Amino acid sequence: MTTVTTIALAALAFAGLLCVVRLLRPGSLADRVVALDSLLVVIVSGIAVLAARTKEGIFLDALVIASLLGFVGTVTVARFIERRGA
Amino acid sequence: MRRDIPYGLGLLAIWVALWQDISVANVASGAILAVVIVRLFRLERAQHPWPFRPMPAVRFALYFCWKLLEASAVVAWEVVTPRNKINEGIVAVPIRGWSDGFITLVANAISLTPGTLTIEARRNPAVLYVHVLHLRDVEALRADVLRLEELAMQAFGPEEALAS
Amino acid sequence: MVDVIAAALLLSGTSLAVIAGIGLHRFPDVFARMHAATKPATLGLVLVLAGAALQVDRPGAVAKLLLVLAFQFITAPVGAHMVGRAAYRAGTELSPDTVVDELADADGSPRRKG
Repeated sequence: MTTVTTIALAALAFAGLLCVVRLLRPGSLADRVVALDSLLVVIVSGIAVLAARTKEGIFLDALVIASLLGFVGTVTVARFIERRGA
Repeated sequence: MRRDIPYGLGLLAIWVALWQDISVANVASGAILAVVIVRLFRLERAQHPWPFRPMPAVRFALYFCWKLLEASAVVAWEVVTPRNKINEGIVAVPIRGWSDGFITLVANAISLTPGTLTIEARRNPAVLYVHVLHLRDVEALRADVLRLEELAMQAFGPEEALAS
Repeated sequence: MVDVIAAALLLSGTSLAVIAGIGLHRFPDVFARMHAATKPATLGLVLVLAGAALQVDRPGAVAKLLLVLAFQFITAPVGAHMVGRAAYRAGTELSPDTVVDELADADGSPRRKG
């Protein structure tokens, strides 16, 4: 199980790197919001894989909070784009 | 007051799930909080309660899960193959929107089906503007969306709409 | 046996997340990238959460994971819709491959086609 979770975490790290590169590339604000949303999904998956690796249930609270905050952040930036332009 | 009960029960279920503690004290405090929240924050509730028909709802859920799998497969295929077959477009699909919640349900379901994403939703008349990845035939796309809407209507729609 | 299933779920979930990340780079414009960011990412998250549910020792953890799952299902399409709508209204250019744009016809607003 430990090797599997190591591979999974490495894959997620790669996915996160791709999201961060997308975030930094020149583009509109909407591009960056989409990249951040994907980064958030990667982070939530990472916490879940960590919970599977250590078999501890403590991390799951962080999952709930992370997804809540991520959604609120995405919607906030979306409304900002609507008002002020990308 | 009767319509508040499902919301209150839902909040109580979430409270118990978060604390993972089914003792009397926990459930009681959750119930008190649920009542307080439901009383304080008066959201716009639907005029009449939604019907729920179990067999069509199961069919809708299964169709939806299958479409979600297919959606990820389509995106994965597009990512992996070297040449770009993307042919984007935004299509207007008029749907039968009998309530805001129903339009929301269909719009969200569309966003998770292969190649489609709801960009804009209007009411009166109820039209959804759907952004499509691989657009071959506009009418076929409208038929797809209306099929999804028909399944949802079978499961959650009002009686008079089903008669038509 | 349970370990094998959990391992398969975790690996497939994370590979879908990687596909979502690659899709963010390969797709030509914002709206297409939103397709890539929502669909495989949500499914990948479902699989990873299912794998974690099988592995965590406390039985009540499944309830929390189901909660996160339900929440993601409801909010991911809504988030994508809001960003898409905002980007469209702000005048983001559509990619040159765009075939049909009925929203422009309905709105009557001038669109810049890159």
